[in-house]
Amino acid sequence: MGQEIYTAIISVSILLLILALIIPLIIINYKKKQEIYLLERRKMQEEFEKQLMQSQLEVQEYSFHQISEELHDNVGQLLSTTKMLLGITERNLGETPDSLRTASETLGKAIQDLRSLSKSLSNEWLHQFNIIENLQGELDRLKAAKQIEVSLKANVHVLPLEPQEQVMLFRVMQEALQNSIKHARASEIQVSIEVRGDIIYLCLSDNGLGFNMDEAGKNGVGMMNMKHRVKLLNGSIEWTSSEASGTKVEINLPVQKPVV
Amino acid sequence: MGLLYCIYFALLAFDFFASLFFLKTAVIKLLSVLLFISLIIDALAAFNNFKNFLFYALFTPVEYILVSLILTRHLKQRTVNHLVILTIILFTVLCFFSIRVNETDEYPSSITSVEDLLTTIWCLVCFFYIEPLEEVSIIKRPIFWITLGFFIYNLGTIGVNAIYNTWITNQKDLATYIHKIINVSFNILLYILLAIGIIGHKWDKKYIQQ
Repeated sequence: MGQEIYTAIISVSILLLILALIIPLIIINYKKKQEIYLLERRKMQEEFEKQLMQSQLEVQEYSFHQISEELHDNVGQLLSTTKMLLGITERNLGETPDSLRTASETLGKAIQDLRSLSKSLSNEWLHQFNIIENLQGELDRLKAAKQIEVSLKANVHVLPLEPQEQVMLFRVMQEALQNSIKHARASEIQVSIEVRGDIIYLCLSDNGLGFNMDEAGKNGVGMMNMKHRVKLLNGSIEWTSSEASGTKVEINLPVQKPVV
Repeated sequence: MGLLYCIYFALLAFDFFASLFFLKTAVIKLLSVLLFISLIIDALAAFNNFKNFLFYALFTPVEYILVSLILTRHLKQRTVNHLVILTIILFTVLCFFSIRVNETDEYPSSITSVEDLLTTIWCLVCFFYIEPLEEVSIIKRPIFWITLGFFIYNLGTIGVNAIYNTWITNQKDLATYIHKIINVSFNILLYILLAIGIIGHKWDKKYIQQ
Protein backbone atom coordinates (compact mmCIF):
# COMPACT_ATOMS: atom_id res chain seq x y z
CA MET A 1 0.00 0.00 0.00
CA GLY A 2 2.89 2.33 0.84
CA GLN A 3 4.24 2.03 -2.67
CA GLU A 4 0.87 3.05 -4.15
CA ILE A 5 0.67 6.08 -1.91
CA TYR A 6 4.17 7.05 -3.02
CA THR A 7 3.13 6.54 -6.65
CA ALA A 8 0.03 8.67 -6.12
CA ILE A 9 2.03 11.42 -4.38
CA ILE A 10 4.64 11.41 -7.14
CA SER A 11 1.94 11.50 -9.85
CA VAL A 12 0.14 14.41 -8.21
CA SER A 13 3.45 16.21 -7.67
CA ILE A 14 4.39 15.79 -11.32
CA LEU A 15 0.96 17.04 -12.37
CA LEU A 16 1.22 20.07 -10.10
CA LEU A 17 4.74 20.76 -11.35
CA ILE A 18 3.59 20.64 -14.96
CA LEU A 19 0.67 22.94 -14.14
CA ALA A 20 2.94 25.30 -12.19
CA LEU A 21 5.21 25.54 -15.21
CA ILE A 22 2.60 25.70 -17.95
CA ILE A 23 -0.03 28.03 -16.49
CA PRO A 24 2.37 30.99 -15.91
CA LEU A 25 3.71 30.43 -19.43
CA ILE A 26 0.17 30.55 -20.84
CA ILE A 27 -0.61 33.72 -18.92
CA ILE A 28 2.66 35.39 -20.02
CA ASN A 29 2.05 34.37 -23.63
CA TYR A 30 -1.51 35.72 -23.51
CA LYS A 31 -0.37 38.99 -21.91
CA LYS A 32 2.29 39.47 -24.58
CA LYS A 33 -0.21 38.84 -27.36
CA GLN A 34 -2.66 41.17 -25.64
CA GLU A 35 -0.04 43.95 -25.42
CA ILE A 36 0.78 43.56 -29.12
CA TYR A 37 -2.91 43.52 -29.97
CA LEU A 38 -3.64 46.63 -27.90
CA LEU A 39 -0.62 48.44 -29.33
CA GLU A 40 -1.71 47.62 -32.88
CA ARG A 41 -5.24 48.72 -32.13
CA ARG A 42 -4.01 51.99 -30.63
CA LYS A 43 -1.81 52.58 -33.68
CA MET A 44 -4.73 51.88 -36.01
CA GLN A 45 -6.93 54.24 -34.00
CA GLU A 46 -4.29 56.97 -34.15
CA GLU A 47 -3.77 56.38 -37.86
CA PHE A 48 -7.51 56.60 -38.41
CA GLU A 49 -7.74 59.84 -36.42
CA LYS A 50 -4.80 61.24 -38.37
CA GLN A 51 -6.41 60.37 -41.68
CA LEU A 52 -9.70 61.83 -40.53
CA MET A 53 -8.05 65.02 -39.33
CA GLN A 54 -5.99 65.21 -42.50
CA SER A 55 -9.08 64.99 -44.68
CA GLN A 56 -10.87 67.54 -42.51
CA LEU A 57 -7.90 69.85 -42.89
CA GLU A 58 -7.84 69.31 -46.64
CA VAL A 59 -11.53 70.20 -46.83
CA GLN A 60 -10.95 73.23 -44.62
CA GLU A 61 -7.96 74.40 -46.64
CA TYR A 62 -9.97 73.95 -49.81
CA SER A 63 -12.83 76.03 -48.32
CA PHE A 64 -10.36 78.70 -47.21
CA HIS A 65 -8.92 78.74 -50.70
CA GLN A 66 -12.38 79.13 -52.24
CA ILE A 67 -13.21 81.99 -49.86
CA SER A 68 -9.85 83.58 -50.61
CA GLU A 69 -10.47 83.38 -54.36
CA GLU A 70 -13.96 84.76 -53.93
CA LEU A 71 -12.69 87.65 -51.83
CA HIS A 72 -9.89 88.43 -54.27
CA ASP A 73 -11.72 87.98 -57.55
CA ASN A 74 -15.20 89.14 -56.65
CA VAL A 75 -15.34 91.42 -53.60
CA GLY A 76 -11.81 92.72 -54.27
CA GLN A 77 -12.69 93.58 -57.87
CA LEU A 78 -15.89 95.33 -56.82
CA LEU A 79 -14.02 97.40 -54.25
CA SER A 80 -11.28 98.25 -56.78
CA THR A 81 -13.88 99.34 -59.30
CA THR A 82 -15.58 101.45 -56.62
CA LYS A 83 -12.22 103.05 -55.75
CA MET A 84 -11.56 103.76 -59.40
CA LEU A 85 -15.00 105.37 -59.76
CA LEU A 86 -14.37 107.44 -56.64
CA GLY A 87 -11.06 108.58 -58.18
CA ILE A 88 -12.85 109.60 -61.40
CA THR A 89 -15.49 111.45 -59.36
CA GLU A 90 -12.73 113.23 -57.38
CA ARG A 91 -11.08 114.35 -60.62
CA ASN A 92 -14.42 115.47 -62.16
CA LEU A 93 -15.40 117.46 -59.13
CA GLY A 94 -12.23 119.50 -59.18
CA GLU A 95 -12.40 120.32 -55.49
CA THR A 96 -12.74 117.07 -53.59
CA PRO A 97 -14.90 117.13 -50.45
CA ASP A 98 -13.25 115.80 -47.25
CA SER A 99 -15.85 113.11 -46.84
CA LEU A 100 -15.12 111.78 -50.33
CA ARG A 101 -11.36 111.78 -49.70
CA THR A 102 -11.89 109.97 -46.40
CA ALA A 103 -14.18 107.49 -48.15
CA SER A 104 -11.54 106.89 -50.81
CA GLU A 105 -8.81 106.40 -48.20
CA THR A 106 -10.99 104.05 -46.15
CA LEU A 107 -11.79 102.09 -49.27
CA GLY A 108 -8.10 101.87 -50.11
CA LYS A 109 -7.40 100.50 -46.63
CA ALA A 110 -10.30 98.06 -46.98
CA ILE A 111 -8.82 96.78 -50.25
CA GLN A 112 -5.43 96.41 -48.57
CA ASP A 113 -6.94 94.48 -45.62
CA LEU A 114 -8.99 92.33 -47.95
CA ARG A 115 -5.88 91.43 -49.95
CA SER A 116 -3.95 90.43 -46.84
CA LEU A 117 -6.96 88.45 -45.55
CA SER A 118 -7.32 86.75 -48.92
CA LYS A 119 -3.62 85.94 -48.86
CA SER A 120 -3.80 84.44 -45.37
CA LEU A 121 -6.70 82.21 -46.41
CA SER A 122 -5.21 81.09 -49.69
CA ASN A 123 -3.11 77.92 -49.89
CA GLU A 124 -1.35 78.71 -53.14
CA TRP A 125 1.67 79.91 -51.19
CA LEU A 126 1.68 76.59 -49.36
CA HIS A 127 4.96 75.45 -50.82
CA GLN A 128 6.89 78.48 -49.63
CA PHE A 129 4.86 79.05 -46.47
CA ASN A 130 6.70 80.58 -43.56
CA ILE A 131 4.77 80.70 -40.32
CA ILE A 132 6.83 83.51 -38.81
CA GLU A 133 6.27 85.85 -41.77
CA ASN A 134 2.59 85.02 -41.95
CA LEU A 135 2.10 85.35 -38.22
CA GLN A 136 3.78 88.76 -38.34
CA GLY A 137 1.39 89.73 -41.18
CA GLU A 138 -1.58 88.46 -39.19
CA LEU A 139 -0.50 90.42 -36.11
CA ASP A 140 0.04 93.57 -38.17
CA ARG A 141 -3.45 93.21 -39.59
CA LEU A 142 -4.93 92.76 -36.12
CA LYS A 143 -2.93 95.67 -34.78
CA ALA A 144 -4.27 97.93 -37.50
CA ALA A 145 -7.87 96.77 -37.33
CA LYS A 146 -8.54 96.16 -33.65
CA GLN A 147 -6.23 98.59 -31.90
CA ILE A 148 -4.57 95.80 -29.95
CA GLU A 149 -0.98 95.81 -28.71
CA VAL A 150 0.64 92.81 -30.30
CA SER A 151 4.24 91.67 -30.44
CA LEU A 152 6.08 88.77 -31.97
CA LYS A 153 9.48 87.52 -30.82
CA ALA A 154 11.28 84.77 -32.68
CA ASN A 155 14.84 83.48 -32.32
CA VAL A 156 14.80 82.00 -35.86
CA HIS A 157 13.67 83.22 -39.27
CA VAL A 158 12.40 79.87 -40.52
CA LEU A 159 11.01 77.00 -38.46
CA PRO A 160 12.45 73.53 -39.17
CA LEU A 161 9.06 72.17 -40.28
CA GLU A 162 7.48 71.22 -43.61
CA PRO A 163 5.38 74.04 -45.15
CA GLN A 164 2.18 72.00 -44.68
CA GLU A 165 2.99 71.52 -41.02
CA GLN A 166 3.69 75.23 -40.69
CA VAL A 167 0.23 75.93 -42.19
CA MET A 168 -1.29 73.60 -39.62
CA LEU A 169 0.58 75.36 -36.84
CA PHE A 170 -0.42 78.73 -38.27
CA ARG A 171 -4.09 77.73 -38.06
CA VAL A 172 -3.57 76.79 -34.41
CA MET A 173 -2.01 80.16 -33.68
CA GLN A 174 -4.81 81.91 -35.62
CA GLU A 175 -7.37 80.10 -33.44
CA ALA A 176 -5.47 81.11 -30.29
CA LEU A 177 -5.38 84.73 -31.48
CA GLN A 178 -9.10 84.68 -32.23
CA ASN A 179 -9.79 83.30 -28.75
CA SER A 180 -7.74 86.07 -27.14
CA ILE A 181 -9.57 88.76 -29.10
CA LYS A 182 -13.13 87.44 -29.19
CA HIS A 183 -13.53 85.59 -25.92
CA ALA A 184 -10.87 87.00 -23.63
CA ARG A 185 -11.19 90.55 -25.00
CA ALA A 186 -7.47 91.04 -24.56
CA SER A 187 -5.79 94.38 -25.24
CA GLU A 188 -2.25 92.96 -25.27
CA ILE A 189 -1.06 89.82 -27.00
CA GLN A 190 2.48 88.51 -27.01
CA VAL A 191 3.65 85.76 -29.28
CA SER A 192 7.03 84.10 -29.04
CA ILE A 193 8.59 81.41 -31.20
CA GLU A 194 11.78 79.68 -30.19
CA VAL A 195 13.80 76.70 -31.29
CA ARG A 196 15.39 75.15 -28.19
CA GLY A 197 17.60 72.30 -29.27
CA ASP A 198 15.27 69.56 -30.47
CA ILE A 199 12.13 71.39 -29.41
CA ILE A 200 10.12 74.11 -31.13
CA TYR A 201 8.40 76.24 -28.52
CA LEU A 202 5.52 78.58 -29.33
CA CYS A 203 3.81 80.69 -26.75
CA LEU A 204 0.89 83.09 -26.95
CA SER A 205 -0.04 85.06 -23.86
CA ASP A 206 -2.69 87.73 -23.39
CA ASN A 207 -3.99 90.00 -20.64
CA GLY A 208 -7.61 89.01 -21.24
CA LEU A 209 -10.36 87.70 -18.99
CA GLY A 210 -9.16 84.14 -18.82
CA PHE A 211 -11.52 81.18 -18.83
CA ASN A 212 -12.59 78.08 -16.96
CA MET A 213 -10.38 75.29 -18.28
CA ASP A 214 -12.83 72.47 -17.47
CA GLU A 215 -15.83 74.06 -19.20
CA ALA A 216 -13.85 75.21 -22.21
CA GLY A 217 -12.28 71.76 -22.54
CA LYS A 218 -15.69 70.10 -22.56
CA ASN A 219 -17.48 72.39 -24.99
CA GLY A 220 -14.79 74.10 -27.03
CA VAL A 221 -14.63 72.78 -30.56
CA GLY A 222 -11.86 75.27 -31.28
CA MET A 223 -9.69 73.96 -28.46
CA MET A 224 -10.34 70.41 -29.55
CA ASN A 225 -9.25 71.26 -33.10
CA MET A 226 -6.12 72.93 -31.76
CA LYS A 227 -5.30 69.81 -29.72
CA HIS A 228 -5.90 67.55 -32.72
CA ARG A 229 -3.71 69.62 -35.00
CA VAL A 230 -0.86 69.76 -32.51
CA LYS A 231 -1.22 66.02 -31.96
CA LEU A 232 -0.90 65.50 -35.70
CA LEU A 233 2.41 67.30 -35.48
CA ASN A 234 3.43 64.96 -32.61
CA GLY A 235 3.46 67.86 -30.22
CA SER A 236 1.72 68.97 -27.06
CA ILE A 237 -0.37 72.00 -26.20
CA GLU A 238 -1.16 73.46 -22.80
CA TRP A 239 -3.35 76.26 -21.59
CA THR A 240 -2.80 78.23 -18.40
CA SER A 241 -5.58 80.63 -17.62
CA SER A 242 -6.58 82.88 -14.75
CA GLU A 243 -8.66 86.03 -14.42
CA ALA A 244 -5.71 87.91 -12.94
CA SER A 245 -3.05 87.13 -15.52
CA GLY A 246 -4.98 86.21 -18.67
CA THR A 247 -4.34 83.18 -20.78
CA LYS A 248 -1.14 81.48 -21.89
CA VAL A 249 -1.07 78.91 -24.67
CA GLU A 250 2.15 76.90 -24.92
CA ILE A 251 2.99 74.53 -27.74
CA ASN A 252 5.94 72.17 -27.83
CA LEU A 253 6.87 70.36 -31.00
CA PRO A 254 9.74 68.08 -31.91
CA VAL A 255 12.18 69.43 -34.49
CA GLN A 256 11.81 67.55 -37.74
CA LYS A 257 14.94 65.54 -38.43
CA PRO A 258 15.88 64.88 -42.03
CA VAL A 259 15.49 61.24 -43.08
CA VAL A 260 18.93 59.78 -43.84
CA MET B 1 -16.84 6.49 -3.00
CA GLY B 2 -20.61 6.69 -3.34
CA LEU B 3 -20.55 10.34 -2.33
CA LEU B 4 -17.89 11.11 -4.95
CA TYR B 5 -20.06 9.46 -7.62
CA CYS B 6 -23.05 11.51 -6.51
CA ILE B 7 -21.04 14.74 -6.74
CA TYR B 8 -19.69 13.63 -10.11
CA PHE B 9 -23.16 12.93 -11.56
CA ALA B 10 -24.63 16.08 -10.04
CA LEU B 11 -21.88 18.22 -11.59
CA LEU B 12 -22.20 16.49 -14.95
CA ALA B 13 -25.96 17.10 -14.96
CA PHE B 14 -25.46 20.69 -13.81
CA ASP B 15 -22.94 21.38 -16.59
CA PHE B 16 -25.26 19.91 -19.18
CA PHE B 17 -28.25 21.99 -18.11
CA ALA B 18 -26.11 25.11 -17.70
CA SER B 19 -24.74 24.66 -21.22
CA LEU B 20 -28.29 24.77 -22.60
CA PHE B 21 -28.53 28.41 -21.56
CA PHE B 22 -25.47 29.43 -23.60
CA LEU B 23 -25.99 27.69 -26.90
CA LYS B 24 -25.02 30.67 -29.07
CA THR B 25 -21.45 29.50 -29.66
CA ALA B 26 -20.30 26.40 -31.50
CA VAL B 27 -18.04 25.49 -28.54
CA ILE B 28 -20.96 25.32 -26.12
CA LYS B 29 -23.13 23.47 -28.64
CA LEU B 30 -20.43 20.80 -28.99
CA LEU B 31 -19.86 20.77 -25.24
CA SER B 32 -23.56 20.34 -24.66
CA VAL B 33 -23.65 17.31 -26.98
CA LEU B 34 -20.56 15.87 -25.25
CA LEU B 35 -22.07 16.32 -21.78
CA PHE B 36 -25.35 14.76 -22.88
CA ILE B 37 -23.60 11.70 -24.33
CA SER B 38 -21.39 11.47 -21.21
CA LEU B 39 -24.49 11.53 -19.02
CA ILE B 40 -26.12 8.71 -21.01
CA ILE B 41 -22.94 6.59 -21.17
CA ASP B 42 -22.17 7.02 -17.47
CA ALA B 43 -25.76 6.19 -16.55
CA LEU B 44 -25.63 3.03 -18.69
CA ALA B 45 -22.25 2.10 -17.24
CA ALA B 46 -23.58 2.61 -13.73
CA PHE B 47 -26.52 0.29 -14.46
CA ASN B 48 -24.05 -2.31 -15.68
CA ASN B 49 -22.05 -1.83 -12.49
CA PHE B 50 -19.08 -0.64 -14.61
CA LYS B 51 -18.38 -4.16 -15.82
CA ASN B 52 -19.02 -3.78 -19.55
CA PHE B 53 -16.44 -1.45 -21.03
CA LEU B 54 -17.91 -1.57 -24.55
CA PHE B 55 -19.72 1.67 -23.78
CA TYR B 56 -16.40 3.37 -23.14
CA ALA B 57 -14.79 1.82 -26.21
CA LEU B 58 -17.59 3.24 -28.35
CA PHE B 59 -17.66 6.52 -26.50
CA THR B 60 -13.91 7.18 -26.70
CA PRO B 61 -13.73 8.17 -30.42
CA VAL B 62 -16.93 10.25 -30.11
CA GLU B 63 -15.48 11.96 -27.05
CA TYR B 64 -12.18 12.63 -28.82
CA ILE B 65 -13.92 14.09 -31.89
CA LEU B 66 -16.04 16.42 -29.78
CA VAL B 67 -13.25 17.46 -27.38
CA SER B 68 -10.73 18.13 -30.16
CA LEU B 69 -13.32 20.20 -32.02
CA ILE B 70 -14.22 22.12 -28.85
CA LEU B 71 -10.57 22.91 -28.21
CA THR B 72 -9.63 23.87 -31.74
CA ARG B 73 -12.87 25.39 -32.95
CA HIS B 74 -11.76 28.98 -32.28
CA LEU B 75 -8.30 28.51 -33.81
CA LYS B 76 -7.68 30.27 -37.10
CA GLN B 77 -4.58 28.24 -38.00
CA ARG B 78 -5.47 26.05 -40.96
CA THR B 79 -2.56 23.68 -40.33
CA VAL B 80 -3.84 22.93 -36.83
CA ASN B 81 -7.36 22.36 -38.12
CA HIS B 82 -6.09 19.97 -40.79
CA LEU B 83 -4.03 18.11 -38.18
CA VAL B 84 -7.10 17.81 -35.95
CA ILE B 85 -9.10 16.27 -38.80
CA LEU B 86 -6.23 13.91 -39.60
CA THR B 87 -5.92 12.74 -35.98
CA ILE B 88 -9.71 12.30 -35.77
CA ILE B 89 -9.63 9.97 -38.80
CA LEU B 90 -6.60 8.02 -37.55
CA PHE B 91 -7.92 7.79 -34.03
CA THR B 92 -11.34 6.56 -35.17
CA VAL B 93 -9.66 3.82 -37.24
CA LEU B 94 -7.51 2.92 -34.23
CA CYS B 95 -10.59 2.70 -32.00
CA PHE B 96 -12.36 0.50 -34.51
CA PHE B 97 -9.44 -1.98 -34.52
CA SER B 98 -9.17 -1.78 -30.76
CA ILE B 99 -12.85 -2.78 -30.33
CA ARG B 100 -12.32 -5.76 -32.65
CA VAL B 101 -9.13 -6.93 -30.90
CA ASN B 102 -10.04 -6.31 -27.23
CA GLU B 103 -12.60 -8.08 -25.11
CA THR B 104 -15.70 -6.09 -24.10
CA ASP B 105 -14.92 -6.56 -20.40
CA GLU B 106 -11.43 -5.19 -20.87
CA TYR B 107 -10.87 -1.50 -20.23
CA PRO B 108 -9.76 0.28 -23.47
CA SER B 109 -6.51 1.31 -21.80
CA SER B 110 -4.39 1.94 -24.90
CA ILE B 111 -6.86 4.01 -26.90
CA THR B 112 -7.80 6.00 -23.79
CA SER B 113 -4.12 6.79 -23.26
CA VAL B 114 -3.74 7.85 -26.89
CA GLU B 115 -6.85 9.99 -26.52
CA ASP B 116 -5.51 11.56 -23.31
CA LEU B 117 -2.19 12.30 -24.99
CA LEU B 118 -3.75 13.83 -28.11
CA THR B 119 -6.22 15.88 -26.09
CA THR B 120 -3.40 17.16 -23.87
CA ILE B 121 -1.55 18.30 -26.99
CA TRP B 122 -4.64 20.10 -28.34
CA CYS B 123 -5.13 21.70 -24.94
CA LEU B 124 -1.59 23.09 -25.07
CA VAL B 125 -2.11 24.30 -28.64
CA CYS B 126 -5.40 25.89 -27.63
CA PHE B 127 -3.81 27.59 -24.61
CA PHE B 128 -1.11 29.22 -26.70
CA TYR B 129 -3.47 30.31 -29.48
CA ILE B 130 -6.18 31.97 -27.37
CA GLU B 131 -6.66 35.28 -29.15
CA PRO B 132 -6.65 38.31 -26.84
CA LEU B 133 -9.93 40.14 -26.46
CA GLU B 134 -9.32 43.83 -25.77
CA GLU B 135 -8.21 44.35 -22.14
CA VAL B 136 -9.94 41.17 -20.91
CA SER B 137 -7.69 39.00 -18.75
CA ILE B 138 -7.22 35.34 -19.71
CA ILE B 139 -8.94 34.18 -16.53
CA LYS B 140 -12.10 35.93 -17.69
CA ARG B 141 -12.11 33.98 -20.94
CA PRO B 142 -14.45 30.93 -20.86
CA ILE B 143 -12.28 28.99 -23.32
CA PHE B 144 -9.38 29.18 -20.84
CA TRP B 145 -11.38 27.37 -18.12
CA ILE B 146 -12.79 24.81 -20.54
CA THR B 147 -9.30 24.05 -21.87
CA LEU B 148 -7.84 24.00 -18.36
CA GLY B 149 -10.50 21.47 -17.35
CA PHE B 150 -9.69 19.10 -20.20
CA PHE B 151 -5.95 19.66 -19.72
CA ILE B 152 -5.91 18.78 -16.01
CA TYR B 153 -8.27 15.85 -16.51
CA ASN B 154 -6.28 14.30 -19.34
CA LEU B 155 -2.92 14.97 -17.73
CA GLY B 156 -4.14 13.56 -14.43
CA THR B 157 -5.64 10.37 -15.84
CA ILE B 158 -3.16 9.55 -18.60
CA GLY B 159 -0.77 7.71 -16.24
CA VAL B 160 -3.33 5.53 -14.51
CA ASN B 161 -5.20 4.81 -17.76
CA ALA B 162 -1.99 3.72 -19.48
CA ILE B 163 -0.96 1.22 -16.80
CA TYR B 164 -4.42 0.10 -15.78
CA ASN B 165 -4.64 -3.14 -17.78
CA THR B 166 -1.14 -4.25 -16.74
CA TRP B 167 -1.71 -3.25 -13.14
CA ILE B 168 -5.06 -5.03 -12.91
CA THR B 169 -3.43 -8.42 -13.63
CA ASN B 170 -1.22 -8.08 -10.51
CA GLN B 171 -3.40 -6.15 -8.04
CA LYS B 172 -6.95 -6.23 -9.35
CA ASP B 173 -8.79 -4.68 -6.39
CA LEU B 174 -6.26 -1.95 -5.71
CA ALA B 175 -5.89 -1.08 -9.40
CA THR B 176 -9.67 -0.86 -9.84
CA TYR B 177 -10.03 1.22 -6.69
CA ILE B 178 -7.21 3.66 -7.54
CA HIS B 179 -8.41 3.92 -11.14
CA LYS B 180 -11.94 4.77 -10.03
CA ILE B 181 -10.79 7.26 -7.40
CA ILE B 182 -8.49 9.06 -9.82
CA ASN B 183 -11.01 9.06 -12.65
CA VAL B 184 -13.89 10.29 -10.50
CA SER B 185 -11.74 12.93 -8.74
CA PHE B 186 -10.41 14.34 -11.99
CA ASN B 187 -13.88 14.19 -13.54
CA ILE B 188 -15.19 16.27 -10.63
CA LEU B 189 -12.39 18.76 -11.19
CA LEU B 190 -13.14 18.76 -14.93
CA TYR B 191 -16.83 19.48 -14.42
CA ILE B 192 -16.12 22.24 -11.90
CA LEU B 193 -13.79 23.94 -14.43
CA LEU B 194 -16.27 23.35 -17.26
CA ALA B 195 -19.00 24.91 -15.12
CA ILE B 196 -16.81 28.02 -14.67
CA GLY B 197 -16.21 28.06 -18.42
CA ILE B 198 -19.91 27.68 -19.28
CA ILE B 199 -21.18 30.21 -16.76
CA GLY B 200 -18.26 32.50 -17.69
CA HIS B 201 -20.00 33.14 -21.01
CA LYS B 202 -22.35 35.38 -19.09
CA TRP B 203 -19.53 37.89 -18.68
CA ASP B 204 -17.83 37.24 -22.01
CA LYS B 205 -18.05 40.37 -24.16
CA LYS B 206 -17.57 38.44 -27.37
CA TYR B 207 -20.45 36.11 -26.47
CA ILE B 208 -22.73 38.97 -25.40
CA GLN B 209 -22.08 40.78 -28.70
CA GLN B 210 -23.26 37.75 -30.71
